[in-house]
Amino acid sequence: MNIIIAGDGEVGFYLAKSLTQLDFNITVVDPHSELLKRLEKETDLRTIVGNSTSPQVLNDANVGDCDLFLAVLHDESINLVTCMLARQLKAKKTVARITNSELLEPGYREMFRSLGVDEMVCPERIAATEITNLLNHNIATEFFNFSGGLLSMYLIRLQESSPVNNKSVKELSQIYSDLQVRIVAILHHGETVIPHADTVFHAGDMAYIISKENQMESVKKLAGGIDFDIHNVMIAGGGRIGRYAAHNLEKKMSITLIENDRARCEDLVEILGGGTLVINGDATDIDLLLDEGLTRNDAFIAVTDSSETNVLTCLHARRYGVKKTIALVENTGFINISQDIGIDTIINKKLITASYIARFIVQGNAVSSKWLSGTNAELIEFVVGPHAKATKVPIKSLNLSDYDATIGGIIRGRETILPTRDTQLQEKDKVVVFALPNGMSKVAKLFK
Amino acid sequence: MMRYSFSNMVRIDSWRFNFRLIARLLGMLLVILALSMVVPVLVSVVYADGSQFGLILSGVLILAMGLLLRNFVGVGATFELHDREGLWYTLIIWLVVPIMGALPYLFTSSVHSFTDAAFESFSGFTTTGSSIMTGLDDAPKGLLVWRSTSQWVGGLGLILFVVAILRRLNAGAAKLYESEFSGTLQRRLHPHMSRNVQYMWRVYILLTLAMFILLLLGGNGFVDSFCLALSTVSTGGFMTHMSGLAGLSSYSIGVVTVFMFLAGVNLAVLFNLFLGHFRRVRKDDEFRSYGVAFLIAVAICSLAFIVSGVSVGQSLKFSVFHIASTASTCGFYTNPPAVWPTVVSVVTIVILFAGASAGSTGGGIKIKRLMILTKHIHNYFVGMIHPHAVMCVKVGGARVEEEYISRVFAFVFLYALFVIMGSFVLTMCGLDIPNAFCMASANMSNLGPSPIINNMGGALDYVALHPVGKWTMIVLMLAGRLEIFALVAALMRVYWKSR
Repeated sequence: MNIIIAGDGEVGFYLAKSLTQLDFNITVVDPHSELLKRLEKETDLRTIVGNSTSPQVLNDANVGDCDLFLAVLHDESINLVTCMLARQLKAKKTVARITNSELLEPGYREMFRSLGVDEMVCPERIAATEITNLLNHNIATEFFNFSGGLLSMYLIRLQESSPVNNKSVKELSQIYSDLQVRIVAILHHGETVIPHADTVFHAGDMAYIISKENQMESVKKLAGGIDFDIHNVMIAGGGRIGRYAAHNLEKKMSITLIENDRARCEDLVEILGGGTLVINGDATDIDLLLDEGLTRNDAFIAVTDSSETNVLTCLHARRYGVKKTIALVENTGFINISQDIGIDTIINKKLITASYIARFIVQGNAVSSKWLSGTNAELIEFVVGPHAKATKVPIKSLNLSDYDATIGGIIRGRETILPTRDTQLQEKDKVVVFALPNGMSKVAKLFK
Repeated sequence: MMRYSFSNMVRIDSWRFNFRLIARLLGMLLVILALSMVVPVLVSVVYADGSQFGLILSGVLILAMGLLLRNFVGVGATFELHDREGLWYTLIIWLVVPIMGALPYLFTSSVHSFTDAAFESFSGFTTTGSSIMTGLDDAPKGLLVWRSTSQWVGGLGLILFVVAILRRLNAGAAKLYESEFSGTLQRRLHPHMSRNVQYMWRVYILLTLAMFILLLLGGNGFVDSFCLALSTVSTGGFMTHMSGLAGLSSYSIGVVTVFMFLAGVNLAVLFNLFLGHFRRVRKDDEFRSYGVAFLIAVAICSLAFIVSGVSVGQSLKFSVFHIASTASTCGFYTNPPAVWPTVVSVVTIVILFAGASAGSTGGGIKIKRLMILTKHIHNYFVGMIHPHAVMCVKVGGARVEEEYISRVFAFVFLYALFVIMGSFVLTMCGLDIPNAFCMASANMSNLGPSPIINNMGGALDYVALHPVGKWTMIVLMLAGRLEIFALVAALMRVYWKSR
């Protein structure tokens, strides 16, 4: 599969590196020659220095043979123009990164398609949605919905009080046969394990749990987690993520938003409703945070432009007793360490973009996808095609464990099934597959 | 003779009164006024009520003066408007037109003095509805139609006629419009101001016609239906019987109530309603507030009546009618219940001051201004606890600029000042303080006759008022109708100086 990535910095490079590992043919178009030279040295890909809105440059990148064209520059108008050019130059599928989520409104979709922009990804919007979901399911460290919430994925740390501790999968399936939730993978000492019959769970493991609709209670019971309600939220940083998050949350919760830039504050109060109190001040000014009632908040979300500020203010909030902290960390290297020192969830725009784009890369009929932070595994939702290999034999005969993959759940019409070894897939089923990257493309073929 | 120039930016120091333009505008309006007398004249001829000669005479006089101004004095007018001129012209038009409109009352000998004629005419054009006429039931039909016609003409604003017709005014149109309709603050429906105004006229005419037909279907007479429709949609409040609307059937009262409520709604909202843009209507928070305030006021009043022993049906019926009449500042009255609880007076006064929606034909402080004030005051107190908080006042989803907020404060202050000064003069004229206050606020809000503090006699009594009191009320009516600024500007020295 030939993929062209037009970028101007980190997002493009991150995508390029991740995709190269998956054995795709990557060409990167970027105006910065120095950076490209370094990238070419580190990774096995082709680089072209130049402006992506130049047809000549695009032709140099062999745009005519490309299966997927990703425009992920910072400026959305350049991305849109680039995609339109790429389409005219016969690129098969184009994806543009955008910053203004208004373009995602369903009414405009066909318009952009006809212009040559097949898909649009707004990382800020997705980040805000993730924050919203996390606060609504606050026991989880990560949360993701499939098929509009028919199935959900939670990432939860197994507490000391969890009933599954020191039990193997085999034992558990005898005790909790009627449970509406399933552990599809665990992170044990930093290693991703897809549980086999003999795998034993331990307190402190991070568990990826797939559950049916409205099964928060069962998930909580399984993980031994303690739930709390979130009423007051403090958001540091009034950029797009902070703004979208405040907008999503302000109807249900009372929001205090701290933003350093006065002019941006003025814009924020105009856009946001009455549920958000916008404070003009520096988020690193702890006295200001305390004056504005930091200790009264149930959650602290740090989404300023500076990853360091975000991490530090989150740690501070934690120290003052805020129960849930979420930080935007742009440096992928920081992600693991941030989680180790006690920040609940890390939001990373690069990962989000890559996560979203993954569905277009996997051969097959992927409808949604989620790359998980803290592990290199991914969750992908496939639609089972007609005459797919998976429709012919029961799940146990697909030998998914050979590919380091497992099926977390099946959506058949409005019905959801947590599969057993004997479950038989049917055409048009949606399956949620958890897999490590090396196995994903092979697994995808089973459903095609 | 049209000149396109930017001279109003260049020649700031040599401002001169543009007599030709004002003559032209005034002349045009007088011609329109004369034309609007056609229906009253026809009615008086058909009914042969004795007023035909007086009406025709005044019509001819007004027409002659209009043509004179328009075709001789106003020839060669340049269509340039300076900022202050908008206010000036508005005031002049609002003084001359009602005085000319007073001629029919004098010529038909329906009133006894110029003061009375002026009072009736100003009350008409400002859509107040306070009346010094006695014996309405026997008054000439033509004159009754003229009274209501004057309300209808004044309802949407005299300036709006000019703006609707004169495309040539260009940017000047907005200046004139602002000077009369200072509180609207809304997105234009159409890029051209004159087209906007035409849309408003269409809604206005449609409402009037609909109400007229519904009243005719209810078995009311032609003259009664016609006058009532004109006076309701303009939120005027002139009635054709001394007993008010007491003689109407329940159906007709219902029709009047619905149209009173609608008349208090922003015409732009009604326009969207007609076009079926329900989402825009639902998002209009002034409309919502108007509706909510209406329901709350009705609930309190009906409860008060029920507690005082009035039957549930009558309490509800009267409360809905009374609050719709007060909120829209129509000021109609009907047979009130036998008791009048103090709570009802309080609610009436509150609703009376709040008034209708901005952009409607109604008077009062306007719901939008009150919303801005309450939100601003709320922000002020939040700011005391959160000194770093950034806040803004939003109405209809749009930010209200600080400058506009201070204008609203000035408006409310002046409003209160006018009411207090008015009450003061009325007290001097011999009224007791509660009555003086009610009368002053009723005229300031362009409400007019309807009862406020008691149900005695149904209406406020203007007939016996001293001439000084009558002229004071005329000033209040004008101040209320012009939303104060045009009137106060005339008193300011800076507006008189040449620069």
